Amino acid sequence: MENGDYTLSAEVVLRSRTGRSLSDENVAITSNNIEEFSPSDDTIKEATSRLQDMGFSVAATGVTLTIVGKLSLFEEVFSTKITLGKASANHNIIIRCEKDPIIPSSLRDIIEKIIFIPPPIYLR
Amino acid sequence: MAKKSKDAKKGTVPDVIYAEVSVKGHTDTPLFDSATRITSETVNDFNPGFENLYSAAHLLRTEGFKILQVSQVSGSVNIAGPPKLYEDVFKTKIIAKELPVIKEKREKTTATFLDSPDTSILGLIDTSRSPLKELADGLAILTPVYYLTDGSAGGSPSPNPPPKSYWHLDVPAGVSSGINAAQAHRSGFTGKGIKVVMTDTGHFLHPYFTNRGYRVNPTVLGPATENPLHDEVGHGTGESANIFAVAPDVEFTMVKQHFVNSVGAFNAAVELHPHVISCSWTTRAEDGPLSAAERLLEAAVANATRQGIIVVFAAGNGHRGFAGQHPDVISAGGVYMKQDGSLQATGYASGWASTLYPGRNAPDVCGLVGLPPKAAYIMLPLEPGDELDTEGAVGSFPDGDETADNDGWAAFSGTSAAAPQIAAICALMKQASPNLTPNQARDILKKTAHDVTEGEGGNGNEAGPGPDLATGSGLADAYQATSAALQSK
Repeated sequence: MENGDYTLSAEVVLRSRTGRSLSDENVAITSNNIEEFSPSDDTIKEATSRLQDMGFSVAATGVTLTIVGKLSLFEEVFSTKITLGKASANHNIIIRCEKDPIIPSSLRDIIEKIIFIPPPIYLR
Repeated sequence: MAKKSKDAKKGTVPDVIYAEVSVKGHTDTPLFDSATRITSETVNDFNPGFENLYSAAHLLRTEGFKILQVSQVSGSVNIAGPPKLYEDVFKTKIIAKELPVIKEKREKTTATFLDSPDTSILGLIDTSRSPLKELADGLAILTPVYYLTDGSAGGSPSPNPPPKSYWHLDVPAGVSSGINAAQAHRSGFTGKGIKVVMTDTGHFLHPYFTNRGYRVNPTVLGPATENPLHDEVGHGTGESANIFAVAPDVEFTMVKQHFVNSVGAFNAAVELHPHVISCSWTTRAEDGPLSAAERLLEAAVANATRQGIIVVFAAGNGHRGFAGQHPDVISAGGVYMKQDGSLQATGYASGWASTLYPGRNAPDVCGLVGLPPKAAYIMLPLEPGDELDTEGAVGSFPDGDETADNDGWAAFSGTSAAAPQIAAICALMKQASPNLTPNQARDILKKTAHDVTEGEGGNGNEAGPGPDLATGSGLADAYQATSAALQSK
């Protein structure tokens, strides 16, 4: 399989209803203040629709959106170059962006950034 | 075309049916009606493009089916749903037939096959009268398969753990007894009616689970994961056995995150609206600041807790990671129970004062965890020949577990075992007191735990009288915690 055909997933940080940013503020986020960092329902709907139109599968299940698509789609939409690596033999796919993904102007009003999640460490 | 058997007896249609939807390829040759044999030379003709495949998956999801896998390799979408949904969407009737088969050990018996009377091929559903008529060739109901082994190793593993002479715990009895769950069971608290979700490497439906009648839902695929029937690592399958050892009647669901998007998988777990989420993994946070990905996990955990879901995270195996130190989680550490029943802190498990959240110590309480070097302590079921099955087979105890490399059993633990044990106690408490909040659950666990005064934790802190950084409040007690939850109603 070509790298471009590889299916990737990332989290999408939406603009919150209060203007507070999940990614910028240095304050602990807990059940007491999470509402202040949450997007509005309209923002979730609009972002889901626009990302689906671009070709991503979208799950709106949390404070962030989860998107799935081909590596080449991520590269095209977010103007970046992605390489894949393996941290070990056991399926740890590491995603490296040669430059930070750029949110296209058509999404900038509702989306702050996208973040690829590194592999977790299992504690057996 | 083969004629369907007319002498089949009637069987029972199950509550959930699994099927493979064949998506149309780039030629007009239908997969099911073609007289052309499907070989390595012709298979490409049947391969749909990416767009068709995902359009079909989207449409199926819209109709109400659960999407288990979208495979570009086979050009198909693996789905699950109740019989009535299939009947409504595909304008057909699903019937069950008992047909003769030969199972393992050459046993001649019958098995249930599902069929649609509208087609001439057994198990094939016609899609031409459904919204998928432009996208799908047909839909094959999945049939039973049998492993061609003698049942002693590989393929079909034993439902019971292999006996070993070194000191270790078995599931369910050893863990249940060690954490005092059996007494809670005798009082009627077994986790019945409580939903527990785990996000991990996946789940293999080992005979250990099926023979005991545990309620295991089909695995939910997290973002960009595949193979819902398999757990290539074995970690999720094995550690989930800790849940059933403590709360045998819970309704369990695995969200397979594998090594892909743990935040997306965690959010998918929240979307299932469980009572408890158990996580046996960590990140590299140390003293911070949190990475962007950890920041999203922090928000995801906070969002789950705000919805009243009890979130249990493993503290770490010497790590000072995340989210085992998040203020909203119940942080699960490790205590080792010796053969004489005495307790000590284990150097395998984390215990530290968080610098990210001043005043927050991890762990809160402990489950049962082994000693260094490998914590080969709880004999757990997994998929035969997977990574942990193979790894554990190398060397003698304590460096290896002395099991075969394809027997579907391995001895391991870590705070990965402690988290599901504690999550299962939370399930018992939630059954006893349905309105129990996450904070109340943590308080009760801490108040009813057995203080541990010996040994040193994995971050160099010694256990002593009262709460400490090695074991938190000590080893959780399922019966005492459940009784206290009942009284708090």
